[in-house]
Amino acid sequence: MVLFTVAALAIGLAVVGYAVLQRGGSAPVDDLSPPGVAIPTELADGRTLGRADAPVTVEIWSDFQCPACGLLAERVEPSLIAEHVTPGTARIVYRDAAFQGIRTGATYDESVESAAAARCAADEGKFWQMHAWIFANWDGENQGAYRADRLRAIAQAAGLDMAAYDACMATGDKQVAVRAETADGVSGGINATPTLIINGSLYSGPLSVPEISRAISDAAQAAG
Amino acid sequence: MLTRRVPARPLLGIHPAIVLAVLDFIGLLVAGYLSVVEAFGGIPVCGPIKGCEEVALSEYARIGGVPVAFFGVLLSVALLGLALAWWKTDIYGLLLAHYGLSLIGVLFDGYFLYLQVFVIGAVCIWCVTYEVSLLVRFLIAFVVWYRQPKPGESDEY
Repeated sequence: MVLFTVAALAIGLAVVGYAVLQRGGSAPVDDLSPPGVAIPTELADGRTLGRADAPVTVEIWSDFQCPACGLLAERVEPSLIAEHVTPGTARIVYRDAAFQGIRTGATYDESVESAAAARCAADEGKFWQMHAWIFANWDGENQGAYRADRLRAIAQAAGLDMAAYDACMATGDKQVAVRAETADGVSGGINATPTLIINGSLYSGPLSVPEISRAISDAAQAAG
Repeated sequence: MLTRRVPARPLLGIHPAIVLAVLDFIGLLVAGYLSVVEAFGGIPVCGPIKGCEEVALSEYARIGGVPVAFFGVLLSVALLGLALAWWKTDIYGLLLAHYGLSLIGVLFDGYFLYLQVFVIGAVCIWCVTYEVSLLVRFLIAFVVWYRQPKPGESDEY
C-alpha cells in the first residue's frame, strides 16, 4: 500500500509538473494560431459587418482580452453571420469595452492596445480579419498575449501593411479612441463584456446562438 | 500478492466496488459532457453560477493541446473498468490500482482547483463536481483498503 501511495504521488506530481512546465513562459510570437472562422469580408465596412439597410443592428461591446468575448466571436458569431448577416437581416457593429487591462494598472494595457490594433486594421479595411486573428491568439488575460511584438506579429499574419500599422499604433490616436468609447459604454450602462445591444435592447452575459437569434428575429419583426 | 483474491467487506451492505463504480460512472458523465461540449465548440451550461466559460477558454483548460476534460474521461473509464473488474474478481491489486489512480487524479484536480480559484479567478461548477467526486472515490478506496483483509490474512481464497 505504501509503495502504491508513493508511486501514485510521484506520478501525480510528475503530471502536475508537466502541466506547469508546458504553460511556462509567455505566449510565443512565432507560434500564432490561424482563426477557425471565415468572415464574409465583402460585407465588411470598418468595424461593421453587414448590409447598411439591414433592419436589425447588433452592437457587440467586447474586449479582446475577455474569454467570454472570445467564445462569442469564435462560437456564436459565425452562426449569427450565416443566419442573419449574410441574408441581410442584421448587421454587426463592434464596440470597444476595453476593461480587462485596467485592473493591472500597467502602463501597457493589453485590452486597449489590442483594440487599437484592430482599429488600425479597420483603416486598412481589415478589421474583421484582425478581429478573428486576435481572438484566435488569445492566451490569457494580462499575461503578454497582446504585448506589442506579438500584436505586431498578429497584424502581419492578418495581412496588414506593416508600415501603416506601425505608424497608426505609434500615434496613440486609436488608443485614445478606444478609451473614449469604453468610457461612453460605461456611462451608457455597459458594465460587463460581452454585452449586446440589439436594436436598442441590452443583452449581457453568456448568450447562446438560439437566444441571440430569437432576439434578432423579434427585433426584425418589430422593425417591420 | 497483488493477484490474490480477497473477498471484499461490504460497504453500505453491498460490494464496495459497486459504490466506486457508481461514482466513477457519475464522474464519466460529467467529464463526458464537458468533452462533448468542447468537441462541438459549445459552452458548458453553468446556470446561475458563472465561470464555466472563463475556465473553458483559459489557457489552463488544455494540456499539450488536449482538453483537460478528455483526460477526465480517460481516467473515469479506467477507474470504472478497475472497479467493475474488482467487483467481478475480488483481485486485491485492482483495489490498489483504483486507489493509486484516483490519488493521481486527486493531485491533478487539486492543482486545477488552485488554478481556478487563484489564477483564472473563476470556478467551473462541472469541474468542481468532478473534483469532489474523485476525492470521494479516493477516500472510499482508502477506507475500503483499510477495512479490507490483506492478502495472507484469513479471508483470502
